[in-house]
Amino acid sequence: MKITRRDFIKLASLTAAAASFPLGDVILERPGTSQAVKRLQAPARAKVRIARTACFICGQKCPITIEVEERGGVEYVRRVKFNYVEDSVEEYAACGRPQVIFEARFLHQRIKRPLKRVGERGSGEFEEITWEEALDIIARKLREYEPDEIIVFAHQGCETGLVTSFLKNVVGIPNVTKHCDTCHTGLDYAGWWVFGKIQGPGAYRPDYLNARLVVFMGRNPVEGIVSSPWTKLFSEGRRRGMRIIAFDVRESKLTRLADRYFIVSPGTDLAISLAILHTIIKEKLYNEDYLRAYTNASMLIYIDTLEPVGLVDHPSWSGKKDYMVLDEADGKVKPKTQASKPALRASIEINGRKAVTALDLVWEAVKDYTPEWAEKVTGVNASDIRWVARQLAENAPRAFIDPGYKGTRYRNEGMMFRVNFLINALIGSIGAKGGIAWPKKVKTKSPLSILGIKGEGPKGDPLYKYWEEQGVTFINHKCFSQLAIKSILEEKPKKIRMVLVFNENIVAHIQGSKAVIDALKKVDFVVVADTTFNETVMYADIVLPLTMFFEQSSPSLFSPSKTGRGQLTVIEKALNPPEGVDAKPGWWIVKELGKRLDLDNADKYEKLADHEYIWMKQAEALGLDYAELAERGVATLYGEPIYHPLKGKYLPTASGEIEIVSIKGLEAYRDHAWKQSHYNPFPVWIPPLWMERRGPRLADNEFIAVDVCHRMTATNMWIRFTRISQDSLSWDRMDGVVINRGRAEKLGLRDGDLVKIIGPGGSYIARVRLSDAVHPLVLLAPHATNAGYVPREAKVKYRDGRTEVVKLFPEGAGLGINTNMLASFSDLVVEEGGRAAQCDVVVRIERLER
Amino acid sequence: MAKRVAMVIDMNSCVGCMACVVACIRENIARQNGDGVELPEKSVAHSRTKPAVIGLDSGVPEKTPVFIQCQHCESAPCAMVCPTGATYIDENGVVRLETERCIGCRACIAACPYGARTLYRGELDGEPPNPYGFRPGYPDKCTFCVHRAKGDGSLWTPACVEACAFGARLFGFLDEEPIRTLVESGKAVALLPAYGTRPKVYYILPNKGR
Repeated sequence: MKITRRDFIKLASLTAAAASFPLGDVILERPGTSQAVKRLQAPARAKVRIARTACFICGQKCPITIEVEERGGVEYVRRVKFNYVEDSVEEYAACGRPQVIFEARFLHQRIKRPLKRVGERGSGEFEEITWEEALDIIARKLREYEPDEIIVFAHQGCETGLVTSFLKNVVGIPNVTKHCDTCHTGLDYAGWWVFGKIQGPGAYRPDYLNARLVVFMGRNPVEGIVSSPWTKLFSEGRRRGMRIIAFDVRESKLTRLADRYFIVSPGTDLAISLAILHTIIKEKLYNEDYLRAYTNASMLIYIDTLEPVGLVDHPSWSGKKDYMVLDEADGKVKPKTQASKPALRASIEINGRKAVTALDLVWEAVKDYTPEWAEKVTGVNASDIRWVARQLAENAPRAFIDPGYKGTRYRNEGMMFRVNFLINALIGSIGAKGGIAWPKKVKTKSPLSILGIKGEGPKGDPLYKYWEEQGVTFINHKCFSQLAIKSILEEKPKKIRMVLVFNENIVAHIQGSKAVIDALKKVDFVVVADTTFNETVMYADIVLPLTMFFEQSSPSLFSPSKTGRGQLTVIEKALNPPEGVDAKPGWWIVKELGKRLDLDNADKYEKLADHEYIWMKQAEALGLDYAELAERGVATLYGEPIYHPLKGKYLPTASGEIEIVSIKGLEAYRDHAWKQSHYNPFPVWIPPLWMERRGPRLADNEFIAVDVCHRMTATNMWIRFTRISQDSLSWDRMDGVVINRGRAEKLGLRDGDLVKIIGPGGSYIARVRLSDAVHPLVLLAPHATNAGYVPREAKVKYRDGRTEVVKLFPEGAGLGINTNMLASFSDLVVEEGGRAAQCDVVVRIERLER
Repeated sequence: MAKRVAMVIDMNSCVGCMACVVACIRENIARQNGDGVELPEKSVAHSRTKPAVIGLDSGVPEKTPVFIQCQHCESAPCAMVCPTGATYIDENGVVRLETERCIGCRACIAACPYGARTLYRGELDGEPPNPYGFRPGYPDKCTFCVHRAKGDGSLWTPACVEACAFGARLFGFLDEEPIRTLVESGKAVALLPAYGTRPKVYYILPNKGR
């Protein structure tokens, strides 16, 4: 037989393959469930497991499967795939982040054992203790202090809900806070003004799938955090022909995909929004029928006192108000519910007092914000701004300005989101197919309540009550981390003795990191539970090592909450922590603390380990077919989001309608009308803080510090420690702070130079990357790619006598940015819940010697 | 005769999430040894597919996002210049490297107009992740994950295609649907057509400026 070269190669290849992967039977099993075991043909002597779980690297929890091969006692991650569901394949995805699981489990920065601080707090010196010792100490402290002397900071990652529910309801701690005041609170605040409720980004479902045009400002659904479902919708929308207009301070993947991209001066997006609103009203590009039917645009308001002409109880909507309008059909003033054609524009006298419509007052507020004015502020051509406004109107209602997420991180972003909502309302895209739809949400029953563990609830007042009495407004009662730090520092309303941080990096996340460090040094006792060392762990007294999400099963079903179709996933363990890592999941910590602190229910906490029992009960409560969920690992409850301007019924506003002028806002803040104020009931230009303090020009060595999202970094911050993440930043030339080439050259800077960045809140060393694709005023890098002035290494002494030095970043990495370490803690936006404005800061740079 | 395979990458669907890049690193580059992972320095640069932006003189508009990877050319310059036949085109049209024959002359690297081949001068402990996995010292390239082929003429799924939850990567037979129509209609285009390399990796370019 003649063997050709190709035959030879083929034969050699097969031989090689067989040597590496001899064929034979393997067991395919689903860990964490009692599902049937299948046999199939695959690599021999290898046991292959496929775990169905969700990715917790960002907050979205996208359903994924992880294929693990076990051979010779060694576990290998072979495949990570999106857990496809046929009926919602256009709406869910998994991005590149979970693909790093195979590397992440072995991170040098992993916390391997429970630790106790041995050096000074903040020295980063620890020694190993047992889990028993650690939990006994924590339980003793939780008993020792009053519940309102304790603050819990918790991220929204795996099992945070269970942990915080236990600490709040069973232990009775009233101050349990998430981190959204360092993230999307500007958007939350805007929701109150237009839709009547402080609500986060998950309250809106941008319908990219059916949109013709979407404008992005302060939002990048391609590279941003919590992005994959929205990114999938975005991707599918593009495939279907959705056009994109992007405003940003830099060129990015989004701007490269965009049909039009406009580079904008940092923190000035609000001026663009105001000019678009101006154009829409001036050119009558608004949707009259929509405004009449679903908004209070026709509401008559006395111009002398800015009071609605008359509010009466709504005849059919319980607890809502009807208001007076001018009926164009007969020229009479009457309640809107009785008018056949409410006038949108009117100027009349009622009882000798002049009244106009809400829309008239909005026009009065924006009439001077011409595109020419905005051009001077933003650098975007007036003709382009007009074009964007006309495009929005032309494509409405299948066109909208994206509702946003983390925003632009400037003082004025709350007003920007408000104005954008008004624009979307005026063109009739809120609640429309192809506009901004409303999601259908799913809430799972708490594992604790399923097990009959109720607790007595919080004991004592939450600290935000005190700050509300001091004049801080619009506090999101689930997110007050910045105010919690202020409470610790000022000992108001009382002295805080203990801080418990679960899966959250408050030193890196909170604006003014030095204040956070001072706060952590001030309290008596600090516990941090996390997967890896980070900026916050350095200040802990007790450190608890958490498993990574793929190393554990969870006693709760999880919902990827951002797409609005009520999808639920099971969380199965894919593989064990590596040898030498004695990490535990959050539910196990709750179980052990529960047994120590809630003696009457000690036996019930044992049942927390029976995850399948709890999943079944949760599915049962939702009317979900558990067998189907167990088989597929994921189930979707609803067919589509809500396409109705008023969410199907009516909104939480006073009128139940979309309010282009908030009735509650007018009542509470009419004194702020026509002023440069966050409380102004009408749209108003508020310059970013940097511009107000410094004017539009900066010195040659001054920049606005901006942190951005990157496709291979995330809020769950261990991913930044992976080599692949760092190599991705390097590939994208974002492994340093990116500065406009022209400005850098003026300063004599070369690519790769080290500089000292000096801000009002601190300084640190960074590497310069030069680019033609960033605005000359900014200096930017992905978030928390610099540990700043925090100790960059920890020293751990293990019980077997070994000592390990753990470096946060290896040599040559960690030279990007963390704006929180540059900004000042005192520059909080107290009008919007004391939130952060992390990018609203002027920094200067000094070149270090080459 | 075996059927030729091809790939179409839809840059309208691609959001640049890096799933394909990292999946390729795991599948072909990284060495999992049970207590750690060995990666070459600048691992993304050694992934067999990586995002880039191209433009002038490439036959596509400026700043077009694409992927740098082996284009599996029908007239592969790298195979033509290989003095030992180490780089060859297999029966499926996949441009392959037989490391045993490679003498490390790097002519293939110089000849590839797509910059698709990389050579790592460092060292890695452990064995490659598959029989055709990344080996330091050799001019590495995409194999379309041919180690996943069953050898019975059926189609397999490369790791990058499997990892892409956005449906941006399509792998199939060149002369069969849906790839045939995408290519014949001109909706999917090859890069640098003027070079006459006849790639079997095609791109659906972003619809912009509509």
